[in-house]
Order: sequence, then structure tokens, then C-alpha cells
Amino acid sequence: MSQQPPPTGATSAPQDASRRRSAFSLTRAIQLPGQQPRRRSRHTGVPWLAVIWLSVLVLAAITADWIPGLPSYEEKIGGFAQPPDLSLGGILGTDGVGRSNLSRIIYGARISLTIAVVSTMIGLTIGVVVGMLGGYYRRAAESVSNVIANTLSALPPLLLLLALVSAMGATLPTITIALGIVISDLYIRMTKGAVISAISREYILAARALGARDLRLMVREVMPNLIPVLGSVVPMAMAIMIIVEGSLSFLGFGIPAPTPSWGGMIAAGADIMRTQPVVILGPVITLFLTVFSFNSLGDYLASRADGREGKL
Amino acid sequence: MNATLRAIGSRLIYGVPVLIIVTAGAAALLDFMPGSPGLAILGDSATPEQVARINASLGYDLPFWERYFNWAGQALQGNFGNTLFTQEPVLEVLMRRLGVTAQLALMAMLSSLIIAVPFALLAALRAGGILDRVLGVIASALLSLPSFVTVVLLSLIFVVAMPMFPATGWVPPTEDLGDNLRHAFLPVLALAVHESAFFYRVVRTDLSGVLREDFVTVARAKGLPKARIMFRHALRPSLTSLATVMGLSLGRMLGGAVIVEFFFSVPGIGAEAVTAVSVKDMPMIQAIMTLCVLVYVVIFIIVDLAYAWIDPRVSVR
Amino acid sequence: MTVDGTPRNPAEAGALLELRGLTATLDSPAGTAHLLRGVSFTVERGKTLGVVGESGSGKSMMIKALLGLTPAKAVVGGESIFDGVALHELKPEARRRMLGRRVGVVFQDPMTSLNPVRTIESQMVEAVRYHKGMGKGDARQLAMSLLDQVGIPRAADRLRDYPHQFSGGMRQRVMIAMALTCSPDLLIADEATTALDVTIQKGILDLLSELQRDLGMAMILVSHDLSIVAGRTDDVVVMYGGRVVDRRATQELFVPPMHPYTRALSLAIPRLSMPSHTRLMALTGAPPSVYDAVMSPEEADARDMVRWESIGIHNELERSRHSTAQRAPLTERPEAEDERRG
Repeated sequence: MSQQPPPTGATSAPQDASRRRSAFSLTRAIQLPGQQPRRRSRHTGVPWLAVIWLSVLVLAAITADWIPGLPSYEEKIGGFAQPPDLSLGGILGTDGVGRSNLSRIIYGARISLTIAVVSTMIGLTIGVVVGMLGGYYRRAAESVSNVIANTLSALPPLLLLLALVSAMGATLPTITIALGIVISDLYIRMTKGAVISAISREYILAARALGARDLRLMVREVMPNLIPVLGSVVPMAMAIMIIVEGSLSFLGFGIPAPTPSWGGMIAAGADIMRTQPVVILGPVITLFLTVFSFNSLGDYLASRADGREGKL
Repeated sequence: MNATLRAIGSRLIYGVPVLIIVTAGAAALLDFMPGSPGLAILGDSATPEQVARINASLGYDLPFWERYFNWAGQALQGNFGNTLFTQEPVLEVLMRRLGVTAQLALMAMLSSLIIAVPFALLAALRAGGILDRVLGVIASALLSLPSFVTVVLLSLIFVVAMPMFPATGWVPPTEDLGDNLRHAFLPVLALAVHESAFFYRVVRTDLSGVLREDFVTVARAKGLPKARIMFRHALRPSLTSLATVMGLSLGRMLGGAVIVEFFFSVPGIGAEAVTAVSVKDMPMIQAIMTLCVLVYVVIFIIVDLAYAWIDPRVSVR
Repeated sequence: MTVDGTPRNPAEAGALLELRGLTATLDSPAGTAHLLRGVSFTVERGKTLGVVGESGSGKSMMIKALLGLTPAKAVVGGESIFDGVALHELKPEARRRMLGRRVGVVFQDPMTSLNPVRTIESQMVEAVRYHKGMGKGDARQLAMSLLDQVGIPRAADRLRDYPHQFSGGMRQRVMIAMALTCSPDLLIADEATTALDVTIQKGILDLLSELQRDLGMAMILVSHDLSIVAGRTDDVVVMYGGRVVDRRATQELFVPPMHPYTRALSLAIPRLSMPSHTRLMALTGAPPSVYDAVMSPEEADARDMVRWESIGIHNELERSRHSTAQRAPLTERPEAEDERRG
């Protein structure tokens, strides 16, 4: 993803600059735009608001069908762009067609979160496999993984997504897969960097000396070290997934109507913004809170992961 | 100088496989897309024979490799074909649009730097103080705003609530500079909101790292005033990350200001890309992809050179 | 003589620096850390003071507290008087500005003490240009002659170089030259040779002694290495657990009666005259924790008795000496004197 900067040098102190490679090199850890660049960890407390918000959101998304009194996202419950009233369905008002904003937001959450989670898993799978092979075997495998990651990051993510979606069509599965591909270069780089630093450690050399086979080493010894590093980046990446998918829907290339998506709702709301500015607020605030929560969570996990390494 | 040229050369070479894959991928896209350019041009009412004829005349009935080599051969000579609908030379259209996007990107980057760097320095001077904490929260919040939300909110404020700027449209600077700037204001602001938050974060964190270094303690022991230490000692090492981030930001904006251009109807590369994909304008799509890769490679070369210039320990490999 | 050749006032004598009851505390999640527990000593003009102590004894923290370089959250108490100026009454920045001009400091790690992205020249001249308004050309001359004095060959060319182009020992020499630019009255070497090879250490230490003689500065040599302090200082201060436990002229360092810790230090020094296979005496146990509550010197000594006894400080010889001493306070406590003085 070309959105991410190469590292700020967070993984090496200034006096190690002689080891610093070019910006093209993929052996450094990557930060995401929303993530606080890591130098030495600042101990941020657990972001409780973020956790609460995300839990509430996930809960609502899962139980949407069973919430009493919540209209479906397709039915018209009132007039065009009504202000909020006291009914559950109308508590956030209606959209430009008369559908319940609250309902659309909750069902939209279902879509966005599902896409975020599944595409992350796809991206992780691709990233870990390619990154692990590249970092473990080095040389040819590393060049190949470099080329793959560079290719993916050379194109702006939205354009890449547009291209993929235009080829594969815009359905839930295709969008999810396309997003997974788009984000995988981040995971490739992080995995490769972590793998390279892990295999130079002594316990790997010891295991090798004992005759351990490659696959076993990769899974049993190296993989566990990847978890804190990757884990700290996953929330951030998920925030990006939500944003990119939202952008796609905003442009009109996302999941087709009537399925609600936050991006689509904001786009539609923008059209009638002049006369009914309130319609937009629901999805905007929800989206912002969700992304902000993911970013805060990621910041917290990142500071914890760093701290752990420091104590080694 | 020789080492520099060699380094630039090796970077360029490194970019070639990426270029090939990307452009080949773009060419291959055609085979996956539903419909065909012929169909897109003629519309649904055309007969299959008419569509097939158009496709043949444009060379879209050829197999993937032939198509790709034809395109590549022409591209290396500077001919990127003509746009599907208006039959204008793609290169011309692209250059025109690149100019517009470049103006937005440069203005946005400049304003972001002007806002972000001084604030970061101020915040670092009183680390942990009120300004520091408030700015940190603001930066986090701004970074959590997707660009499509930013454009809508800005529009709400500056177009709907207080009509100060045109909602959409673009006037080239050669025509009327004042008008051009008025039209550019909202798109640039939309871009700058995110970029300045980003720059602020990067510089601020780097500064805190550098301020913990021993040589800063030495400077303090020398009795130098805080502001001087900040500028003369702390800022320079932080510049390397700033350079990297600036490079990425520029690359991102040049190719990816899609949402902003789309919403404000600015005739830049991003907007063109959206149109091209939706109408399956193959020559344009391939040209845009090529451009993106070239921009990526060039920017990284520049960033690497900047690294070497800023930090004397880093030699250009 | 000062660095630029003007003679120092020969009539100046007496205390240049006086520390009285310097304390430093830091609140942390693990509790309140008492890093310094009332440090007092004096540095005379033109003389060298050695400060000896193990890691964690507070010697580096003491230097930082003196210079106003403690971490922001640390609270520093007590009094420090430099050339008649009450430093503790100054605001931190004013204090650093004053001391920056009159005290030169050489820190421990030459590899990180210099800014890697700036030339040697720019770093050497910034202090003197700021404090004394010296012009560029004059400052460069000064820097060149100082580099010469500390033994850096081809000084003129080297000025344009960056720190990574120097070896560790050379960098430390540059640090020393840098510390002398403002003709300081006091030079502090905080473990200045600890990070260097032993073969280079001697060169640096000799250089320091030579410069001190030539320039008539006072000097504080901080080290955990007794041998460094032994031959090169006039007075010595022994620190343990954040406080000063012994304070005397260097020549009389191992003349009893002495604090048990000092005795332990002397016992740890191998001597060629010892029979072969003599075990070196090492204390068991660990130094006191910084989180221990504030206590009087007597209480501290009582707590530490176990440690001293572990290597038989109270062996036959000591016991006989101490039997007379036991009627007096256990240690010679300079702080107790101050308390009595009021």
C-alpha cells in the first residue's frame, strides 16, 4: 500500500545508521498513517472508550436481526430525510429515501466489519506466507517477495482496488478479496522484517544445529515472534480497510444498493446536504468513532509490543 | 557523483520488474472485465458484429501477450495511444491532468509542512504540556477522518453553511489565477488536513526520540537555550523521517487524490482514473498505471538522495 | 592559565563548588526513588576531586543534579553554591546557562555524545560563540588550537569532519577539547574513560591531568574504578547508596579508621604482595534499593552491617581498632558534622 511510509528509523538508533538501507529496502518495519511512529514506547493506558465502542458496534451488528423494533434497512419508515424522532427506527432520522438511518448504520456496520475482518485474514495469509518464505530463505525468495510487495505498493490503494473490482465485479466476496490483496503488502513487509530479525537470534541457530527442519522452525519458532508485531498492526490495518472500502462505496463502486454501506450513505447524504445536513451526521460520526477506536487500539498494542521487546 | 549516478541507475533498474508486472497486469485486466471496450463505445444497442469490428480495429481481439507487446512497443516510443471515447492522445490528456493534480499536491504538501512542523517543535519544547497533549489528540482525530468524510464536512462548512468557495469545478491558473486559487482552496484544504496531521505525528515523535539522545544532554550541559537546541540539534536528525514521509505523501497525493478530485470535480489524474475504470478506457488505464509506478520510483530515488544528504553517515549505495 | 593564555588570579583559593545536602527524588509507579540522599562535599579551586562509587551509587545522578540535567520529573533539593552563587535559587535554564560557561563536562559515552549530523567544528564552537559572542574565525582558531592540545593530528582538516569519522578515543579527546572552549573553572569527567579501551584510558587520563595543571582548573573525576582516582586526585569522596560515606584526602584514603565500604574497596584490590591463590574479597548482597525510605546515616549504617560483615570487616584486626571506635559513631560521617554545625 503506498499509503504507508517506510520506517522513521524506529527500529534502529541513530548510531546504527550505518546499517540503514535505502528507502526501497523492505527489511524495515512499516508504520501506517494512523499509527503513531514508534520510537521508544510511551505507555498509553488501555483505550477503554475504544474498546467499549467497538464492542457495542460488534454486538449490534451481530444481533441486528433480533433487535426488537428495528426496521429492516430497506423499508421506508417515514418521509424523505426526516429529523430524529422518538421511535427506535427513527432515532437517527431517515435517509433520502425514507429508510431508517439507525438501521442502515447497524447493517452497514455488519458489512464494513465483515469486510474488514475477512480481508485482514486474507491479507495476513498472503503476507505471512510470502513474507516468511522471503525472510527465511532470503536471496531469490526475498527478491521475489520484494517485487510483489513493491508492485502492490507502487499503486495507490484506491486505484488498485478500483482496477481489481472492475475486473472481478463488485460483490461482497470480490471486494473482500481485492482488499485483502491490497493490504497484503503491508503484512509482507512486516513479516519479512520480523522473520529476518528473528532468524538471526541464537535460539534459531541452536535449533538448526540440532537438525530441526525448516518448516518446523518456521511454524514453531519464528511464527510466535510474529504475533506481537503483526497483532499491533492489525487494528490499524482494519481501520484502513474500513476507510478504503468506504471510499469505494463513496465513489459508487462498492456493494450495490440497497445493501447499506457507510461510504454509500455518506455519498448519498452529501447529495442532499444542502437542504438536509443532518442526514450525514449519523454515518459520519459512526465511521469516525470506529476508525478512531481501531487506531487507538492499534496505538496501545503497538506501545505494548515495543515495551516487550525492550525488556528482552 | 559516479556513485550517485550508479545508485540512481540501480534504483531505476529495480523498478523495471515492477513496471512490467503492473502494466502487464493492467493489460490482462481486460480479459477479466465483463464487456469490452467496443461494447462500452457503442453501447448496449449495438449488434455483436459491430462490437467485434470495433474491438478488432482497436486491437482488442488479440491475445493478451500480443496486446501487451504492441502496447509496450508503442509506449517505449512515447505513444500511449488515444483515449477510447474522445480519441485524444492519452499522453497529452495525462500531462494536462498531471499538472492539475501536481498543483494540488504541492500546495497541500507545502501548507501541511508550514502547519505541522512549527507546531511539532512547539509541542516538543514543552513536552507533556497542554499544547502537546491537545495537539496529539487533534492529530489522532484528524488521522481517523477518511478523505471522503473530510470533503463532505468541509463542503458543509464552506459551501453550504458559509458560502465562501465554489462547490466544484476548476479554473487553470493560466486563465485566472485568483479564480484558480479559489477553486483550489477546498481540495487543497481537504488534502492538507490529513497530511498535516500525519507530518505532525511523525515529526513530534521523532523529536521526542532525538531529545532523549546523549548529544542533546551535552548541548544542555553547554548551557545553550532550549530553542537553539531544538533547532540546531534536534531538528536535523528528525528530517530523515520527514523526508521519507514527504515522499510518500507526494506519491500518495499524485496518484491517489481520487476522492478529493472526484468530489470537487477537479480535472486531475485521480478523477480521470475513476472515469477510465468505469468506462474501461484501456489505453488510459495502462497509461495511468505506468505513471503511478514511475512516480513511485522517482520519488524513492529522491528520498534516498535526501537521506544521504541529511545524514552524513548514510552513503548512497 | 586559562585556555586562551590569560593568567588566572593566583590569589584565588578556597572553595569553588560546595554541595550541601543535595537530594534527588523521582516518583515512579514502583514507588518513590531516592536517588540522592543528602550529598555534601566541596571542590577547591585548582584541585582535583575524585568521586568513587559503584553503579547505582548515585554519582552520575549527583553530577546531573548539580548541572541541572536531571529528568524533568525528578525533584532536586539541597543547596549548591558555585563561586559564591547559590545555584539552587536559580531557575533551571539560568542555572544551565551559568554553569555551561564555567563548567566543562565530559560524559561517558563518546559514541553518542556528539551529534552525528553536524560537523565537529560546529559543535565545538557553539558554546563559546553563544556565551562569549566570539566571531566565527576566532572560534575556529580556538577550536583548532584546542584539538591540537588534546592531541588530534591535522586539526584544521579534522574540523570539517563528522563524528563517525573519529575513533572512540579520538572522540573523547574532541569532547575534552569541546569542554574547554569557554575556559571553564571546573572540568567534570563523568566516567570519561569507562567506555574506552584500557590502553587508551591512560592517555585520556594523562591528558586530563596535564590540562588541569596547565589551565589551573578544578576537576572532578567520577569513576567506579579506584585505580583511576588513586594517583590523580587531591581529595576523594566515596559514594554508596546515594550518599557520601567517606570523604578525605586521597593520600589518606586507606588510612584507618575508614568507613566499612571504603575498607571493602581496599580489600578488593589485588596486590602482588599477596600470597598466591589469595581470594579477593567481594561483598555479598546488593547495594540498598533506591526505594528504601529516607533514613539517617546511623540507620543506614546499621542496615548495611550485614554486608560489611560478609567479608569479615570485623576480623581480628578491625575489631581491635573498632573497639575504640565503637564508642564513637560508627563511621566518620561528614554529614553529621554539617548537622552539628547546623
